[in-house]
Amino acid sequence: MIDKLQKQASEYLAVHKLITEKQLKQIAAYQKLEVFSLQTEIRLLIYFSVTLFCGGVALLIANNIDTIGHVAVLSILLLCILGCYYFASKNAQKFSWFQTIFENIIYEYVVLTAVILSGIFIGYLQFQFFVFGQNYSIATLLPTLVAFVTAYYFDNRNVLSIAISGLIATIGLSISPLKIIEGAIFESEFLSVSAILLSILLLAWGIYSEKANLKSHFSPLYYHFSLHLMGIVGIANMTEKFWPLYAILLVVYLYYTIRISMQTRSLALFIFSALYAYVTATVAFFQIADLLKIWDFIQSFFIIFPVIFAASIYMFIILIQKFRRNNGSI
Amino acid sequence: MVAYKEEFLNNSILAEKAEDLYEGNFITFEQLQKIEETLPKLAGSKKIYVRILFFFLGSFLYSSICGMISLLFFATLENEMLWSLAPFIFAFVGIAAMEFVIVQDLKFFQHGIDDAFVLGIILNSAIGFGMENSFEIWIVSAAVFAVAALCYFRYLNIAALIISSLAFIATISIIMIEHIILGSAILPILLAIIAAVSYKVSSKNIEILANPYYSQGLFIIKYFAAILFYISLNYAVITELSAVLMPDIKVNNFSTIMSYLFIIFTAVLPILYIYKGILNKDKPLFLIGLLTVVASYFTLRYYYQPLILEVELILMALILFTTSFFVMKKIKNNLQGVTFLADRLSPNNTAQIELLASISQFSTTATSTQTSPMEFGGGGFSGGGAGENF
Repeated sequence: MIDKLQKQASEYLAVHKLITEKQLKQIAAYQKLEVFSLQTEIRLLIYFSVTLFCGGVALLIANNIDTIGHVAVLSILLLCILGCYYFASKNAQKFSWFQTIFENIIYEYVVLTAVILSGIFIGYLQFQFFVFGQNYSIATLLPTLVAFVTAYYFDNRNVLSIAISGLIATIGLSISPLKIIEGAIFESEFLSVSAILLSILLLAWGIYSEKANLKSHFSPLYYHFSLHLMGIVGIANMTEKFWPLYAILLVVYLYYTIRISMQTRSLALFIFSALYAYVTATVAFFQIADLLKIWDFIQSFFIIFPVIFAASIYMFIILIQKFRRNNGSI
Repeated sequence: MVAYKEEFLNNSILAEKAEDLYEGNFITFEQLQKIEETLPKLAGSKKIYVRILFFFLGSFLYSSICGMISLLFFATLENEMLWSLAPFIFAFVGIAAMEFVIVQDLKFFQHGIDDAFVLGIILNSAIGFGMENSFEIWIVSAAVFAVAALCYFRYLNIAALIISSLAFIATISIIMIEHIILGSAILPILLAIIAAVSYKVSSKNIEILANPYYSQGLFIIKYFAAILFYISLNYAVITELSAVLMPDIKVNNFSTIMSYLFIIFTAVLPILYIYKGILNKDKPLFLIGLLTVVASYFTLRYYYQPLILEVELILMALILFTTSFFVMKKIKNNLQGVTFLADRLSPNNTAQIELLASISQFSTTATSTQTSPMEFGGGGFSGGGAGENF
């Protein structure tokens, strides 16, 4: 099924001299190939097969934990992991700080399987033998480290996102249970501060790796994780006691992410930063109104709310237009 | 019938296709910019998150307008009669806003804000008709069908078209089940006939359609019909629903023969869809085929489970892996036709889907903390929006 509209459109553009004849010929030649790409579908199918496999293995272990025997399960798992790593490293290109790709994409998923299985392996060790004692944070940190090393060695973004999530989970784990036991009231405060530090760390590492060319194509992932972590934690804290601090922090932080989005021409990063800034400003407005006790005064303006919303829509439209014009992104 | 000016609509289609050409590296960015400058077009975005953002802002705007009207005019009223008219007034306000501001002045098309207003109009009229008729469900769904269909023809809104199709099916089903004797017995056949007819009509009309604005809608109807056809003939759906709807009717010879027919349909339709999808180079139909394979498998599993779950999972994984591995190997070096190379004219965002999937997966396996970034949404790569048909 040739896309007829595409054909008509390119002919129209060529007639009106908006594209050259040569380009039209190239497009027509390409359309004649009738490319029916199955890349997305096959990748997804392989991905599903990996998840099904890992889910099956995990269930198998969970249901038969007392019949198979721990040593047997652990050694089978270890064999699987080592096998996956062996095949992957045999077919991998030499390690480099630039982007490398497998010749056959199937090995990307072999690497993914290896990482998930090693997560199961370490979890099993901890659950059954308490290798790390009561120190659950180490049991989370270890798979995270494995995932980080694998992600960088084999250049795999899926694994990197697992690693970053693991890092965040580690921070959360190492602080909250301890504080809950101690009955500390500032438990969430500690968690927020550590999350914010982690978010800044991720952003800084993203910037640094982009500048120093250390797998610079990983940077967008770091930016996004960092932005959402900071946005959610910051805005959640805007209703708390120390909200002015968080407001200042968010303003500075979002200023930087917006600058980064301009440099990297990333519209998604820009829009999410603008959105978080908008929410921050709105909450800050209400906090200030609360502080000055001018609620009654503001309530008389509730009738003009549509105008405020229309104004914010207008602002977003202008922002996106400007971004597109300045940065050459569509 | 269409509210937008033809010239602008044509230009929008041209600009969209030009964006595809740019993303496929056929033309340069300067050319794209020149195209967008020379052809005045409607304002809208292909990026789905931009559209969602404006959809939310538009919903806020619409509901705040409704709130303002209620505060000004209805706050002191005690007459219930007028209260039941309020949703219609809100709907008319929405229509007025669409007609005189959004379409004429701002020229928003597939922008997010127009989606918000169109959905608001449909919702308000549904509530209005419901209040008038003490929420008799088939009247509400018929009203939704009519209003949404009108909204589609006037504003070319795909969401309205989908709602309208769903409401149409709902209306027919409710009437058949509740108001016609033995209606539920022939309901699946009736739905299948409707689906088959609309599939045929829509796919025939796509070929000969003169103005291209409705072609996207016809595609949607075609795939909707394909899904409906499968669901209305699926064995599990029919047996389970008839057990609920017709508990008195005993199984007899006739229904046994029919059930064999349904089993055959459940097994054959997915293969047919996939085959036709590849044959006609029809990507969405192919994807529907893949989904119906899964549905058929679950239908089988519902009645017959020879294996324990974990063995089944691992076995399925291995089958899936080997199948995709061999298919990939086979088509890897093809330069035309069915291939493993990315299509330059419809770029996709697999990477983003996988990323989301792997994050959500890990968040459930790790102990979730209150800071887990579940809201991670689309990476900022130049992946483009959804394919042009959806």
